[in-house]
Amino acid sequence: MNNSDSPIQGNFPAAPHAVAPATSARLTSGSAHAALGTVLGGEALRGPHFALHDGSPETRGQLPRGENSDRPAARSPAPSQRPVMLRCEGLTKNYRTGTVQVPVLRGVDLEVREGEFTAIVGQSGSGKSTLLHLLATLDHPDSGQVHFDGNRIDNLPATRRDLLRNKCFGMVFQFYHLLPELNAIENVLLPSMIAYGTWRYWTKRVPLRRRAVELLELVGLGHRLRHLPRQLSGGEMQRVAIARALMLHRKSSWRTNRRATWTVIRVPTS
Amino acid sequence: MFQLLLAIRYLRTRYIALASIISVMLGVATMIVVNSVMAGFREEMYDRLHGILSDIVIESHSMEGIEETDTVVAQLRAELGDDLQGLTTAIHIPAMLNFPYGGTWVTRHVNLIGIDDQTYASVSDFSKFLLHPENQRQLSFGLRANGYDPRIGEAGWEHRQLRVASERLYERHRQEIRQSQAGNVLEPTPGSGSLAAASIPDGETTADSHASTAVDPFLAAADEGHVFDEMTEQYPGIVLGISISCLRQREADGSVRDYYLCRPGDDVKLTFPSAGTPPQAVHSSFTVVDFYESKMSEYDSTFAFCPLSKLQELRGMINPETGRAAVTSIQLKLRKEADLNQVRDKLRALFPLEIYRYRIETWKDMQGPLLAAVQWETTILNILLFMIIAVAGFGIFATFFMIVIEKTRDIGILKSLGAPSRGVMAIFVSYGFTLGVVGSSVGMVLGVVFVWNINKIADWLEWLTGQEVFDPTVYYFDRIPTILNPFTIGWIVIGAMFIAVLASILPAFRAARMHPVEALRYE
Repeated sequence: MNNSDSPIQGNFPAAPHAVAPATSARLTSGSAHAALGTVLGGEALRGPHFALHDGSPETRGQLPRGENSDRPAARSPAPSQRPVMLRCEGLTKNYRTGTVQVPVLRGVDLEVREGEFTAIVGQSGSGKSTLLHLLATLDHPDSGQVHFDGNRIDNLPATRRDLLRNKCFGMVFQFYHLLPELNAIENVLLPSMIAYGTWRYWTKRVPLRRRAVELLELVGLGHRLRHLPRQLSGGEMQRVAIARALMLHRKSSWRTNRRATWTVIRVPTS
Repeated sequence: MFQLLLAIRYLRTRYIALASIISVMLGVATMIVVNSVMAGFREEMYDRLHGILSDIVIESHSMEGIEETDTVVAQLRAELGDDLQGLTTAIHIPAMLNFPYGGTWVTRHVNLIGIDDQTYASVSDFSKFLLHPENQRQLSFGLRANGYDPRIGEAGWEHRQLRVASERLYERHRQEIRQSQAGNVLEPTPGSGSLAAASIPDGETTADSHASTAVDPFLAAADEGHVFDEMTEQYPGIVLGISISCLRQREADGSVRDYYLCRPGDDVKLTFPSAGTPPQAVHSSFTVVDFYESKMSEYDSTFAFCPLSKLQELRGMINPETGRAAVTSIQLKLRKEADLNQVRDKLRALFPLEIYRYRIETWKDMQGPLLAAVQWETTILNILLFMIIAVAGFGIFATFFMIVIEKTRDIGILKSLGAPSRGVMAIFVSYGFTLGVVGSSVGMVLGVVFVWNINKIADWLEWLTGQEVFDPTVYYFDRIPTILNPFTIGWIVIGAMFIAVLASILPAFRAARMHPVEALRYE
């Protein structure tokens, strides 16, 4: 799918052996200043070592699973043998400015396996965000398909896509995107509030709250539960956003059901 | 859950939205106040109208009246049974009333009603509106010695005797002066002054020819062998509507005073048509025995009540052959629970218009145009006031649009976290609903408190502005009547909430339709 006219000059081959070079793609020639990461399996952020954002534009590859995981490395199959969690084929997307069509993505293929860490690197305007929006079902591709856990997801009805985003995907945005009216713990609880109706949320509120507190403690904000976003620093806000992305991804869930998580993390460019 | 949390949080952090509901609040309060005052006025008017008129009136088309009264009454009693609680017969005719005041004759048009003093009070609140306490218990067409309402001033036999004495004294003086001036050349003409004329007994009935008498048109030949003594005798009694003889006027100092042109104890002259064709004008004198004050100016300024039997006799309504006396109307009082319209229809079927010369109407039919006008007024006023709330709705609409635009990014976040569109919509709709609830509840409390204290507020406004809010020369009420109808309040509050929700639906819909990528683009 190499297309020299495309703003995306990279190719996203589904190389089964590839860990670092193949699953990360430079979206532009020249030096990349942005890094986008996808983490599958939710394990990347477990424990105090979630030094995922090492900031390097060249970040790519899989997190050292064996070192950080509770699970012994030996029990995990090799990355290339793990099932494909997220796959897209021939994704194209154009934006329309008046009468002029601006092509952004021209047939992007990508395959991400369970537990794999992928960074998408590219120049600004190269379509990184657009790709992630399409993968996260926030937008429709003009053509091409997105598959998640073997099922096509880009053509799902809106309610199913909402459910998918709420239950299976966790997103962390470059600018945190916390709701300014809610304090840290409420922001973390937000996905569960969306997931459950008022009554079910009320009945589950104690364990949910405990989980949110745990997550905030995990990201080192156990002492700032009731602080509003404007009372937090940029980094702290980012950590709240990470906790929010993990809110509905329970341990039990990913152990028994591998569909549990897919976390998209957008690392700040700076 | 998040909808509720965010709606409450927005409510607590966006005071501008609270400001936008002040208009809802004021609209609701105004509507409650206006409606309860209107309802109060209407109820008061209904009460009075109903108190004046009996439930159902069977009226003869002609002024000759219904002669077969006994048969009709028997039929009515048989038909209505227990529903019938009171029945009276009466004569309603137009008449012209004259009385002397300040050297001239004051003329008034009146509706003369011949009533049976024993039964008339049983069909309406008639006795309640009389001013003498004894008459309120049982009407008598005989003049009372005294004991009239103190605001009338001197009234009754005492007043009559004083007046006659002073008139006679005055006349004697005139004659003396005239005699001394003329050197006893000319005999004084009796009744040469208008006032003096009033004091001259003129009998009871006169023929038309006497109308042309130069000095006193009512002057009649005195009964042979009997000289009417005003000092000790009275003409047949008459009860006058208070406004016929009373002028209410505002003084220079702002106080309101009543001027009585005639009082109980004074005599009045009536001219009315006789029965028969063509009608002849019949004149007769009556003595005012009481006033009637229903506080409905239309009635107070036209009603005059006299004894039924006297009127029948004067108008020639007694059939010399059968001895039966005719009446022009039969008035019925029904059981409280009785459906007036149903009874009316039953009676109409009993006395079909093709055969009988009666018009059968309920009191509401008789006052139809007035009641309809009041009803219409209330409706129009409500429509206008509801527009105030609609304007408030547009305020909410504009504010919400601004808030939705301000919250674009938050909406994007919520959608990216998987919030469904209807969930996002619910945030803004419940926000609007909450504003509506807050606005209309506060408005309701405000309105109700205002209504409870409306008279104090009126007094305070009077004190503040120096202007009389409730002009007693215009209204007979001294307090503003109000009725708080829970049903009306309920509708107003629900209507306001509905408008608030309606105003928030479009902005909410816009928020729900927002594309998450578009909403998050400006990051």
